[in-house]
Order: sequence, then C-alpha cells, then structure tokens
Amino acid sequence: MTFSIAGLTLSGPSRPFMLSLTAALLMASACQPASPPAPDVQIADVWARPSRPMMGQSHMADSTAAPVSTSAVYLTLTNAGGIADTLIGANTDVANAVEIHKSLMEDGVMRMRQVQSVEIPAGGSAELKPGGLHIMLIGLRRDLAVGDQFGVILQLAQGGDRPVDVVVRQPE
Amino acid sequence: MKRLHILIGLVVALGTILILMILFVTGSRPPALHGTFLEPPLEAADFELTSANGRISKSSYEGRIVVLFFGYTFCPDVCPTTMSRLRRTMEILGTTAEEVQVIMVSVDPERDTPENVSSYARAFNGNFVGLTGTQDEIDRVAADYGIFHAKAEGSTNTGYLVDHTASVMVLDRNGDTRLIWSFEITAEEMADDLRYLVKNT
Repeated sequence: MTFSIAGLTLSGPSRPFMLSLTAALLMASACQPASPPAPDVQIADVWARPSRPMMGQSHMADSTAAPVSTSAVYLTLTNAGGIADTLIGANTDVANAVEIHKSLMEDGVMRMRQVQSVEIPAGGSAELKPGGLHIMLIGLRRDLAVGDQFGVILQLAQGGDRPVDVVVRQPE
Repeated sequence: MKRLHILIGLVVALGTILILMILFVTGSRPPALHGTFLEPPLEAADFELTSANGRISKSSYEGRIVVLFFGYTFCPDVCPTTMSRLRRTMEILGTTAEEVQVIMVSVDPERDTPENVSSYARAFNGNFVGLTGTQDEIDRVAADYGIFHAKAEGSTNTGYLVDHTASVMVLDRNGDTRLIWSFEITAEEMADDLRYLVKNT
C-alpha cells in the first residue's frame, strides 16, 4: 500500500502484515515476566570492640591486663530492595559462639536479651550500635587488639551468607 | 529631716540585703550540670571490697572525687561503653584527672574474681580500680547506692546475664553521693561535671 505524509509518498509493506507485526510485538512484551521484588542489603561500617581495650592506644592503659572473653560487633544494614530481609545469625572463627543481642533500658535498669533476628525493612535500614542491638561474640579464641581485622559471615534469611571484614576499634 | 534619713537608711539596707540574697542564691546554684545534682549530698556508707591488691575501703579515697560504676566483665556492650567513655573523660580532664578516682564494682561476684575485675578496669586506664567481693558484700554495697542488680537467664552459650542499673554515681570528697549520671551521658559532659566538682567542692 502507499501512504502519504506531508506531501511525501511512501511505499511499504501491506496493512495486514503491519497489523500482524504490531500484534506480535505487543504480545511478546506482555509475555515478559516482571521481576519479583527482592531485598538488596548493603552492609557498612562493621567494627568490634577490642578484647584488650586500649592496647597500644594510650600510655595510661595497662597492657598486661588479661583479655575479656566477650566482644560485640556493630554494623549498619541498608536495604534498597523492594521487600524486607532479616539478619538471622552470624558465624566467625574468632569465637566459640555468636548470638544477636539487644541491650535495653527499662526504668534505669540495663538488660541484655538474645534476639533471634533483626528485620531490615524494604527501603530502610537496621543499625547495630552501642547500647542497642549488637552481635555478641562469646568465648573469644584470640585477642582482639585495636586495628586487628577478622572475618564474620552474616546470615540473611533472603540474601544468604554474606562474609564481611570486621575492624577492631575503640570508638569513644 | 530625721525621718527622711531613716527612710533612706532603710531603703539602702533593704536594697543591700536584696542584692546579697540574689548573689548568694545565684552563686551557690551550680551551673548547668549534665548529671542529676543532689543537694544536699546523699550520705552513703563506707564499704570495703576486694581488689587484686587486697581489701580496699571507699574511705581510702577520701579527699578525691570518686566515680562509682557497677558492672560486670562478661558484659560485651553496655559496660565497655561506659568504661571507655570514662577513659575518654580522664583524657579530656588532663591533670585534673588526678583528683578523680574511677571505681568499678562488679555485680557478678560469682564470675568476676579480684584479678578479672581489676585487670578489666586497668585495661581502660591503669589508674582505674576494679572491685568485687562476696555476694552479700556486693548486695549490700549496691543497695547502699540504690543500684538494682539481678541475674537473668541467658543461653547455654552465655550462661546467666546480669541486669543492672547503668547509672554512674559521683561522690564528693567526703564519699557522699553528689551527682548521678545516666547511661547516655558523653565523655565531654562528664568532664564538664567533674571539672565543676573538683573546683567547687
């Protein structure tokens, strides 16, 4: 068939062919499955308390002091995805056991309780920080001196295992 | 004329008294302290507990400002946060820190031996003192300072945990409680308060 636009005359494929082609293209795009919403968790600022506080940091510290048997790991989890994810645990070689704990203040009394998981809402974040949520390392197998690094594998319900490097530091 | 002189005299006298009263009141009120200021100070009993170097009594620190914190060495989060802030406070104070004694009393005498708690405290600052005692002794001292402490169930990994008042008590040079700091207080704020106490009490 021929058709004219603005004085220009074009010859092209037949109308039925054009209609079929358009229909086919439309159907093809409709059959593409839309991707399901997924979590997208980024992990930042992972640090732990030293087991020999102040070693090498201050002339006032007593470097012969015995290391303590517990430590806390803190971090920030940010979820840019469309659905929530959950931190359900962690593993490390530097301690015998790892649990997620929450420090909470009730009427001036500080309590610490184990929690099974920490939700990271869609488009939101979860912060593990001093005085609140933390990953507790129980029965340390080695000293954690300021500046040391060690590995921890975080376990996310949706996102799976996420290995991270933890830096030991003295925050205050 | 005499009446006028008397009148003027009275006005001047009253005015002077008023000014003195204002000065007295504003002069004795402490500047904005960050902790809860106790006026009058709360008398608190002497105590004797055990450090790695043997028995120590609170009265042996008379003459210095005492910072008293009740915690335990197994605690991974709250206690190290407070102790670390106290370490930072002493750094900020510089030479003024010589007039201050930080003491940590364990609320977990079952697990905290004198060696444990002493070395825990000293690891933050070699001048910090860590004390423990028998359960009875600890219970009595904690009660004297209004400090709640109780065992709480943990897991098989942790064993028991200890719930405790996280406030820090600041004692004046006579050993009486003058200031109470809550957990959120920062090192700068503690240094401010201590500078005031060192200078004015």
